[in-house]
Amino acid sequence: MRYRKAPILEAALEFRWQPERPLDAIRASAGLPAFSDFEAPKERKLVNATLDLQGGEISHESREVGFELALKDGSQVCILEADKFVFVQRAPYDQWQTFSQRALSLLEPVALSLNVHEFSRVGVRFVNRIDIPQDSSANVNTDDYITVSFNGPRTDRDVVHEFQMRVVKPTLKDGISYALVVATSGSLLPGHSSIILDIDVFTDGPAPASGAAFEKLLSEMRDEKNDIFHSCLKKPAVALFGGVEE
Amino acid sequence: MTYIDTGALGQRTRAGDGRSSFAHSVVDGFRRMISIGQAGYLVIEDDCTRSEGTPRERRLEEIQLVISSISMHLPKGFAVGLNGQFANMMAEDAWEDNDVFPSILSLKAFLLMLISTHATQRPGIGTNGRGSITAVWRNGENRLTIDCLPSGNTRWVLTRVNANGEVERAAAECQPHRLSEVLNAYGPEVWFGQ
Amino acid sequence: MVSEGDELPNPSTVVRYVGFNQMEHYGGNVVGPLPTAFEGRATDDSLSVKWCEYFVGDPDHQLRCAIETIRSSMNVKAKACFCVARTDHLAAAGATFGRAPKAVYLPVHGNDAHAGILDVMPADLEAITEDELKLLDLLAGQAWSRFLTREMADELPLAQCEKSPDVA
Repeated sequence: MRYRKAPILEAALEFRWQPERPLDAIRASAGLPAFSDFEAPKERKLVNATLDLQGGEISHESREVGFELALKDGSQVCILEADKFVFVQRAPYDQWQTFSQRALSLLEPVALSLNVHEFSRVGVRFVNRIDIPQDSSANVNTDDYITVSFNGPRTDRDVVHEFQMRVVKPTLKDGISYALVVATSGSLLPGHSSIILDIDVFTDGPAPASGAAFEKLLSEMRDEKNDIFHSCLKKPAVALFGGVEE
Repeated sequence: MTYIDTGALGQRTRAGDGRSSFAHSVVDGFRRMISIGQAGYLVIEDDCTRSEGTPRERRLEEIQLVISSISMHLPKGFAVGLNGQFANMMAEDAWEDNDVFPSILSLKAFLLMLISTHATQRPGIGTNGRGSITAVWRNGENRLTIDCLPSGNTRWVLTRVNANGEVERAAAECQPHRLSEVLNAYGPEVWFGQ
Repeated sequence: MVSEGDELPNPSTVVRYVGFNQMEHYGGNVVGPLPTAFEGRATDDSLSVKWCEYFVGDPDHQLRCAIETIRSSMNVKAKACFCVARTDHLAAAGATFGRAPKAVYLPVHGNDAHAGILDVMPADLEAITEDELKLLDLLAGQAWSRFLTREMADELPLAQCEKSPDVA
């Protein structure tokens, strides 16, 4: 099942490992044939800045930590660092099977070349934005669209102007937790307001890097992600997704 | 509510990177960590490393990200197709060094124009070299050019052969959301499809 | 004999460099110039072109020489195109909207085949009028509709480029 106007802005699969691999090995991985349809790898750097509060001077240092590869049209991005591989699919998102197969087809040769047999963390993150049409005279009541709401100590007057919440919590599945961000946001579309639903499902501990157990884990994480997503939504929100297509 | 600080559980799955990532720009804006280091020093560690790139490449990334982020409001295939067109237009061997990059306001006008006209045919694209994005549709002798300006307005001109075989020319400047109504007199389905 | 500041003989052929980003294209397939290609720059008094008949030879040879002049005087991008027009067609298009475009020989240092088209550019690029938009569209769709890609230009005959004895 997929929505005609799926609200997914970005879908990411992240696989971390320990210990960190040397940068030369990461560079070699970025040059694997699996990445031949991507643009040339670009360096990624970690920047640390230090401000001397008394002297008023700023110093900074940066170090190379990996590489980023993107398709020419920007629709897919891979990040390869000493301790992780990330595959990002930007909107439009098609479906899980296409997305996960593509990610795994890129991950497998990387894991092989870096001799990774176990992941220290696996993450499945979907960032959604629900665009809600707004009459010029009326406010959007987020309670009409999502099940997450503000329940603060006071009611005071008028409506909530901005809302942002992040919660991290274990699921009922052993070893799988999630981080959920719910936030209001402006919209690029005139006459719309938006709600962000950022769902990050991840493993608390080590996970197999291949085989049936790995596939089962990914499938469970996807199910958890979907369940969290639908648990957050009310019918008027789902109605904005343009129905379901085969 | 019971709360325990579990440390590493607070780590995020990395989404797209830096300015090129919607997740970063909107959701993870508070991700930058600021901590007091040695006495009298403030240490800022930006955990969101980004790839190097020229200003042209970075603007292309921004454009592609904006188009991607409203892809669900465009006809199927539009966003991927447009992002490929912008990549072609802004490639190193195509982009004129003295031209001003398409502005994000021009891009918003361009996207609003596409949404407001309900175009089902993807336009050709170009620029006036001063920050605009030009959209053009051609069907035989019929041609429609809409220049989406950094002001947020659109400037359009059309050549249309009417039912009697006469050539009509029209031009004007208007806001993007008005285009559908303004162009309606010229049978725009010849360009936009049904 | 044509001297600096003189109007070019009518008709003459002129060629203008147009970047890929001002060409209508679908994928890599170029269809023709956009009207914006002929707006010119705010700092220019005339639309900058190269005059083909500055050189001796047949029309294809003259055109190739004019293109080589462009290539030697600026950073020409691989995907850019060269649009070609006849000055009588430019004049006719202008007349439709009350303009009187005139091609004038304006050699500059190191760029001897340079010419300019007067009274064809919008008066104010920030406030282009409806008639000016229509004129630009007509120019792009008709007068300047002939164009050459790099590959097409490379197929033109290349020989010694010599200045015409009719140019001072």
